[in-house]
Amino acid sequence: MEKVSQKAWQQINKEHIKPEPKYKFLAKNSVFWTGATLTLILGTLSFGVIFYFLNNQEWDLYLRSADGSFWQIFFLVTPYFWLIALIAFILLAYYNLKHTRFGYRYKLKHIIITYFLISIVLGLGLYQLGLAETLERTFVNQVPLYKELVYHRYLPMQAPRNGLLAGEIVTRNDNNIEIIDFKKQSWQVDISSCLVHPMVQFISGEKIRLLGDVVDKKHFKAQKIAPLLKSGPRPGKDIHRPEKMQYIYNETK
Amino acid sequence: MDNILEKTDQELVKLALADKDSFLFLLQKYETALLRYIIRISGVNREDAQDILQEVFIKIYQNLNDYNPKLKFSSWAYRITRNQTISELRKKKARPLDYYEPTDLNKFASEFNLINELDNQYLNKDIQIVLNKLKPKYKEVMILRFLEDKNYEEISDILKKPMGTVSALINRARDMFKENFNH
Repeated sequence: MEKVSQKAWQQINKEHIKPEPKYKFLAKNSVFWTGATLTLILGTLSFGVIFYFLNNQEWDLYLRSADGSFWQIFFLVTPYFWLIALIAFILLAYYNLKHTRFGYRYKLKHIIITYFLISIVLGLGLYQLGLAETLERTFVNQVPLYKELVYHRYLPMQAPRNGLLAGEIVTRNDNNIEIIDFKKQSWQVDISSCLVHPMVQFISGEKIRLLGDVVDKKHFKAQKIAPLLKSGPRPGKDIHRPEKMQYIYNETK
Repeated sequence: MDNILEKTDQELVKLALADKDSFLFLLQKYETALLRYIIRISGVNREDAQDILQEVFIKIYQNLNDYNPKLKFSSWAYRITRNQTISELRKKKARPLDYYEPTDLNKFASEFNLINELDNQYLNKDIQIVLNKLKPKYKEVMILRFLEDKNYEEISDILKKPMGTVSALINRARDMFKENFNH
């Protein structure tokens, strides 16, 4: 009886079967390596922005917002857009690595931990270089959906009874600014003695957050003023970000 | 061609890419082992297993440029064989048949120290029943480890699973086998 190896060999000869070219396999492997590298870069960017977010929070403003409810603060503080992006990139990286030639040799948890550690280190580097902020600003300026999402986060900052106000500057006098809050209500804000974030320029159209006390239905006394989005679009001439982001005490007589 | 018997599998693959005759030698070398493996994992009859094997050999030849010498050729060939067998069973919408040669059952008996049983025929029947109760993922590691005598690294490369997972699967399969056998 004819052996299977003989039959297969005859079939190869008869049907002129040839080995697939090497470049095809190399290309396939390269696609997965490229995918894994790209997702690592994207994960690094996500981590960079997450660092930026967490390091630029106004904790005292948050704690007074929405009666300090845990979930409200959690919602404000958590950069969920970037966290979701990070998880998606990690899963994609895992998928790509698994499909490389020897990717199956690594366990899911090892791949994820390694990926996480590399992303954290590189993400920190990006944050230190200021690239994370640039990326976040680009997103706010170029991606309308993202901008909406970010502004939506700050709606709970609109709680005058809790000493929180947020809105857009209309005009400024020496000791006062007029702002329109998110409910389209006009407020006269006394800024004669308060802490001002160095990125606040007090120019028309600028979106800010305030911590202070309600005087009456139309008047508010500010204790602390910060930009609504530190990385967001700023009207007028774009200024360089001050090196030290400490609040400056504003006292006008 | 004179010293072809002394060549490693890696060298034979290199040769086969240049000369088809060397490939025939490689096929002959693995024919018996792969045919037996197909029967063990699928339970199909010898003729069907031979048809599958023929397809496997064609696949191996077509994918020869994908073979990486860092891997044992036998592991790579077993992997293709396993995938092709599963694919053929799926095509026919057939489940693997649970059939083991008496020699295979004896191997299990010896591996699990069951050789003291009085009646070998009944013992084999019991082993067969216990094996059939195992989930396919446990059964396939049992076959590779105890019938094909593959080490953990080879099983990892054949199944494309991490070594730790393979080790856990084997231990679990071993425990389940013993547990089921004692009941």
